[in-house]
Amino acid sequence: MKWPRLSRRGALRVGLVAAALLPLELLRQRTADRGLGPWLRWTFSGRARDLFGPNSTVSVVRQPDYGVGVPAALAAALQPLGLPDLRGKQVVLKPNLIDHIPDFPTTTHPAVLDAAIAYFQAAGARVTVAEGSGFRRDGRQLIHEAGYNPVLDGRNVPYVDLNYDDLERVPVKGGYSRLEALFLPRTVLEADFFVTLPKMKTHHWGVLTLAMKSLYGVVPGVRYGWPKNTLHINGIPPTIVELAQTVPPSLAIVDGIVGMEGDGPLYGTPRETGVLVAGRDLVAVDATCARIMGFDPSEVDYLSFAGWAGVGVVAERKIRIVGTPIAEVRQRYEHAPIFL
Amino acid sequence: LRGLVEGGREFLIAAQRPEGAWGYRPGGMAFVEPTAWALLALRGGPDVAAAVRRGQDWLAGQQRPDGAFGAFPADSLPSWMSGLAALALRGRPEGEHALDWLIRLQRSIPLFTGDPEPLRRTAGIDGRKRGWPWAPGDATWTEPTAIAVLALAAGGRRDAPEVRDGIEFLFDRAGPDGGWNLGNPFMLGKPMRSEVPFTGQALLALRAAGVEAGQPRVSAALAFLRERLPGLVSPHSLAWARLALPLWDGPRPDAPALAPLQRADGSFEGNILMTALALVAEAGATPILGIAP
Repeated sequence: MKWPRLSRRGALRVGLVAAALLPLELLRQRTADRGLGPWLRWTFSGRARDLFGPNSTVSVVRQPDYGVGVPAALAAALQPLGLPDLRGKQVVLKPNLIDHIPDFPTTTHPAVLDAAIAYFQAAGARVTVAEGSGFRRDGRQLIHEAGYNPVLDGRNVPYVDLNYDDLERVPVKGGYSRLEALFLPRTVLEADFFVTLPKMKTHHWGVLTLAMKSLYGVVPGVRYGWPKNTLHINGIPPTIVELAQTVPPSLAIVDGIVGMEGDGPLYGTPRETGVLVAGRDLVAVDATCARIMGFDPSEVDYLSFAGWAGVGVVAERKIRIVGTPIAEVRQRYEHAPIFL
Repeated sequence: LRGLVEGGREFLIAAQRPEGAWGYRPGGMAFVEPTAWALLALRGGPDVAAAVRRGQDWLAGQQRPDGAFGAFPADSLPSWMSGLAALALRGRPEGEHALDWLIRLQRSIPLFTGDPEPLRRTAGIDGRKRGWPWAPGDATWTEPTAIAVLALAAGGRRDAPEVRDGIEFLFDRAGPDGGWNLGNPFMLGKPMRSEVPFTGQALLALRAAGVEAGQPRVSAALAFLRERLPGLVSPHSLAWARLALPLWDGPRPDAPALAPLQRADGSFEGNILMTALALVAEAGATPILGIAP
């Protein structure tokens, strides 16, 4: 068969058509996983948030140790954030209690939890402490080992193990993962004000574990197993962002007094950082912590994703830091080793 | 002892929901796990036949056509709790149906065909060993495997090849400290800590499956439990330790007692799962779980 001879004009037309189709093909490939519609929605939402959305405020307050200065430092961190009137409200505090390993800073320090309880009780709130460990079946033994019992008893605060709470089916809001819905604990869903109290740590799968990643602790073990592998199977970055949008805490207070670098979230090295970081935009809090730890937020997939989709603010120009400037407390945390 | 058991039974009976199920706490929503353990705890007790019958009927009514159980009524997906339901419904057709499902589930897991070395190097496990997942599609872990092995062995299927697979899986997942955790003995080459409940479950399953005393993994796990016993304050962990140790060690008079942790209402921590586990532990696993002495 003899091919027709292509004129210069014909060749130009073919080139133009190819040039027009190439971006569409690239777009098709990029959106193959979740579909073009959601991709466009997230893109426009993120751009609109970036261009027209309000700035986020993040408090950074120095606190060198877990001594008597913690309550004042925590109050100083929360004062600029404009918290609502919490008199008579149900406040749920969720520390990071993935596991307790002696001599490793795996969990939120009891002194930070104690200061947070005292702060919200003084504000007139009814306080509950709640967490669902990803590694431990017995939460009662875990809170004993983590040193929480004197705090809970001393403040007369109940503890709810979220791994065994009553559950409600909640459709996920973002659609970032393949999950359509999650069964989530009523203690969290019915809280008037939900506060996450994560530890500042590196993470061998997520790069960092801060306020957003700590939300894995609200996913119930009796339904999703230990270590809540359903979330891993559905992708760590999308499920982190999914949770941050589906059960958004009202506030995050990060225990960065002694953080963890290297082989986090369990066997890393203690890193004295001497800060409490707080804010109501979890994405902005995590982005600020990343910068304090010496990371560019773009290195952290879930933060890039959350910023791009407009779940919160990542851009430094959109975050108003109150208290101590990042440059004065910035460290260079050792990265976690890569898994597999 | 008599006071502990009677008080615990009264608490469980009072906490039973109108439809016959139990939640994790009185007034809480119905779940299969606490219902199954409450039924095991009440089995054979005086004046509880009606409550047990209602509980068993509710549990049997939760069974899916394929034999599996969800974790709770609104949960449409098969769950690891199917093994517990099979234990609690032992001797009924629904129990046999659940055991059939457990066998089919394990057979449906694809064989590991990749290079086992990377997983061995980083997590210290052999991906070719076949256990059970928390739910179909998940990876395989300690507790669902232990519960499945226990249910199958207690249900008269000790010689099934799937039970042998489960034993090998549990041996492979034992930690360097002697016990078991959720199923990751190492992470990036670092040893992970074991936990008493997972260790108790694995030991119970191995005993039910006929593993003999003196097996090195078993000896190491018993040493782990003995070492942890003095530091246990939670009824949950203490019950699992007291349940597993006598199967191999005989009664241990030096083991911390559960009774001082019991509340005036007969419960442990006001928690139905913990209370049921404590009662099963006090009664001993042999008659309740069908483990041959």
